[in-house]
Amino acid sequence: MRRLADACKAVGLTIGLATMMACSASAAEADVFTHPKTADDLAKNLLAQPAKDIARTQVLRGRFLHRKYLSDIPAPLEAAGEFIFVRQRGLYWHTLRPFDSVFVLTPNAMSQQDEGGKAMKLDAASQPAIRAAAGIFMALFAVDLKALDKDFQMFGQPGAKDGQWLLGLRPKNSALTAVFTEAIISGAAQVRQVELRDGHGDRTVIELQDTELSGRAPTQQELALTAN
Amino acid sequence: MLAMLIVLGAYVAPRLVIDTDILALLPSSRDAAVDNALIKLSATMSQRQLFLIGARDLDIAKQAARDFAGKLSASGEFAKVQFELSSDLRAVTQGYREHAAYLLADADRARLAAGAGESLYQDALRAAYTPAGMMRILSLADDPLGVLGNFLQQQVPSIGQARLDGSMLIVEREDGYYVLVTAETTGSAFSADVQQSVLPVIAAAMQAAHSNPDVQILTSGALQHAAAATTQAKSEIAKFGSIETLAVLALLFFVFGNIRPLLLAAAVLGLSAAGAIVASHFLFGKLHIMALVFGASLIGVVIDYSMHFFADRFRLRDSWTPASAVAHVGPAILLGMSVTLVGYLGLVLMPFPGLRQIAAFCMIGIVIGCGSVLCLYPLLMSTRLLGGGSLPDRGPRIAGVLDRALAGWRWTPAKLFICFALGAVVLGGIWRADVQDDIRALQSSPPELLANEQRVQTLLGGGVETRFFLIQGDDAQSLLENEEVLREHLDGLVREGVLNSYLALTRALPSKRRQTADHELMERGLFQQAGPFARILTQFGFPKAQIDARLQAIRVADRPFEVEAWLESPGAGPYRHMWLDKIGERYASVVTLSGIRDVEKLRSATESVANVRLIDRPRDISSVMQTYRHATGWLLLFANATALLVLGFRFGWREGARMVLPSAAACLATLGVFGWLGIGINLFTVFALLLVLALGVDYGIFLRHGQNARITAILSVSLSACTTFIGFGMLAFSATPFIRSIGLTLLCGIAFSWAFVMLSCMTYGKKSMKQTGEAT
Repeated sequence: MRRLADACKAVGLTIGLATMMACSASAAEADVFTHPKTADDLAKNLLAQPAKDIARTQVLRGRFLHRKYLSDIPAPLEAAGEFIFVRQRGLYWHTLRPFDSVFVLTPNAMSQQDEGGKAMKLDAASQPAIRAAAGIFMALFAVDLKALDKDFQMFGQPGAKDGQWLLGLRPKNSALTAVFTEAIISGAAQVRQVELRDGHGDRTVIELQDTELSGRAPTQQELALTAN
Repeated sequence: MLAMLIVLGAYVAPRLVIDTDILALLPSSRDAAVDNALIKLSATMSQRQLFLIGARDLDIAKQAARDFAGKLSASGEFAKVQFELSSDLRAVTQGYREHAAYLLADADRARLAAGAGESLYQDALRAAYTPAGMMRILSLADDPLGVLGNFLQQQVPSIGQARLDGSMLIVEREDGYYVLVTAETTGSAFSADVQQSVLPVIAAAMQAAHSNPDVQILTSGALQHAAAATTQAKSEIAKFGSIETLAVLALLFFVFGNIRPLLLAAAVLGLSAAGAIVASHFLFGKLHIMALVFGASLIGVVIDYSMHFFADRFRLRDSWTPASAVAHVGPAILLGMSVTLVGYLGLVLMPFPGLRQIAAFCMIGIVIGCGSVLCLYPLLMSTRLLGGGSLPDRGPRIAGVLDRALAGWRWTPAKLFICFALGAVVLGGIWRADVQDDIRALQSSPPELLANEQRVQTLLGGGVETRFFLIQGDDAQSLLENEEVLREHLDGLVREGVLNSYLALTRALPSKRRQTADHELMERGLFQQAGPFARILTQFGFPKAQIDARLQAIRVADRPFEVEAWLESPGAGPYRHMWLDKIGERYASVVTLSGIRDVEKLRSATESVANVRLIDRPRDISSVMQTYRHATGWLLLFANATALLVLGFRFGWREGARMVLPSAAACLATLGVFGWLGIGINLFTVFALLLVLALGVDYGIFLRHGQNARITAILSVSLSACTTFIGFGMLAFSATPFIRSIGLTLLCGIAFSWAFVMLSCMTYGKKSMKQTGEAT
């Protein structure tokens, strides 16, 4: 953990302030796993403020920036697009850049559709990993502490600025470890960033931008998009 | 005799191996090595118990399964308890890594063959840029196109519809989740030892699991059925044994006034059984359960000899001595014994190992029994020991009544006509007879167990079948190729729904021919210049030099996976036991099946595939039973014929016929009755008829010999018939179908036999006596 922070600091010095901030953020993230917490503790203290808002959320929409850092390559693979998350239903993920692709994840299935291309659907029955992945994503977006507590060891600490928080997760069983070994969620009033680390040394960082939380029921269109 | 008992107790009994494998009765086929392997495989399958531990909540189910499996393995009674498949995916992938350029999943092969390598590039892009990449087994850098990952995914073992969830096999239903736990016992499920040590452990574990009311446990496997059969057998032996003993005691007391004859008869019986067991052990090394079952028929025959001996007392009330009894009934007993022995000799001549054992067992037992009666009784008995002179009069009085009735019998045309009519009815019955060669005759599990078994099968979508394919090849690679040919057929059958799924090791280790072909495909479709492999790595940001180096490394280092190397790699884990290696001259492997919906279609679809055989135990067992039934049928005829010959030679043809035909008629009549009543005729029916014949001929000989003391003869024959009737009649109430068959057959057979032999031998006895003026 320490070495990573140092490396990041070294890179940051040559690139600039933003990078430096990113590195200090990741240094802080590296520390979060030294602060184990229980779900109750988090709900009452660290996440007390956002918890209420997040708990009300029925629909979460916004734009995303999806960056994948392969362990051998310095530059990340970047994708951007928009998403719609409907609580208890599923996630609609529409990548716009570098290519057009729609990905829908629900507890029952995972489907993909490329622009003008063929659709592909995988059933949770044939691929149990889908259920695990769906569970994780839905819990992450909704910061459903109770659901997360079942499958993850939880860690938390305040972020760099006031009101910011970091939530660390480590899977309790091997079904989830196959998907990622560690997750760090950070945010303030809402979830800002989700970082997933997997067993191969690769990292995925998803930044959520222009998010709207709404407590209203999902619209017809939203339901249709998250159907599977 | 005593020495023999000691030998039995000290040496033989602990070492006694009782063989319960029905297939051991089959005549040895051309390929003994294969048969041995098959027997071993079937045995291991029977040692496997399946448990489905379910709850509404997946976590509760998993925890309950963990606890349950923990208790089972802690007991040490199981060779292997598995609830988690080895989740060391890293080790497995490591083993396959250096052969990645030779391994393709079926779907990828189809894509490359169709020239659609580009779609793999698209998949890789999606994996990199969207969350879809979460599903990848290997990292993007290691396996950019996901080809190796797809291959590994294809091999994930499953049982029926149970799928891998993390490291556990889980079935999901509307009413909850079920976790699969398998346990292998160290010995056969049919061994009483194993049952005794294993069942309490299972019961305790189940009780602990049920402390949570949500948890349900379903079981499948031979153990429960075998144990149920054993408990049932034990309770029946206790129940019937006590009823029979009481009834026989009552009868003997009625006739003889005391029970000493019974004790002596029991002693003789014990000696014959002991002698037969010891001899079988030394002759064959092990005793088949069938031999024991039919050896039980010894009871009827040996008790007969004893009864004849004791009943002889009634002949000379006051001046009877054991020696005179021997002189009087001895020849008859000896003759009866020889006839029976000749009959059983026929069994020895047949090429079936099981029948030979049965014959030897019975013959030795009968000889010892006869010897004991004739030699021991005079020694052990004296009129003093038998409790003094006064024999009750009841027996002879009843016999006297019968005697007068029979003596007065005249064969009027009316009576003859009735006989013929009845004969026709009997023939009609035989015509209607329902022959069953079913293995169901051997199964007798209580309905709850069967229902349980059914539920497991339904949940798993088939469960583990006992049928499997045996594939052979002249060498390792041709074996793999043959298996791949079979797999093509099986894939089609799975698509049609004939079969739910199958497990074959070529999924984890393709034949070299296939690996080479796949390598070609990949070389042309993926690894070429500016091919998908190079392009995706470029897209990821790898420098060109590095990409070229990697392609070069693949070309140089990658090579096909050899059989020996694969067998030692972690990837072989779930498939290793399917590789049978060299058996006899050829290599063999096994493909296991799950969820067969249509056996006939499966069989016909794969019949034409060379070097492949569908091993179907239930069918094999049924064919064994059918073959044995035919063989025994012929034996029945043979025995009848030899009896006729021997007796005809000794006494003249008319007399001989009179002694033999009644029992033949009794057999036919029994078959006829079964036909009319819809009772199935199977192997065990025919075996029981063999006994009916032996006993019937005995009765005939006795009546013939007793012409000068008719009442005694009638009494002794009736007494024998009654004791046999009681003894075997109880079996007709057993819950086990095959025992029931034996019981019913003997009930009818002995009854008819007694009636016919009385009619045949006694109705003109007085006439011939008057004619020949015989007197002793």
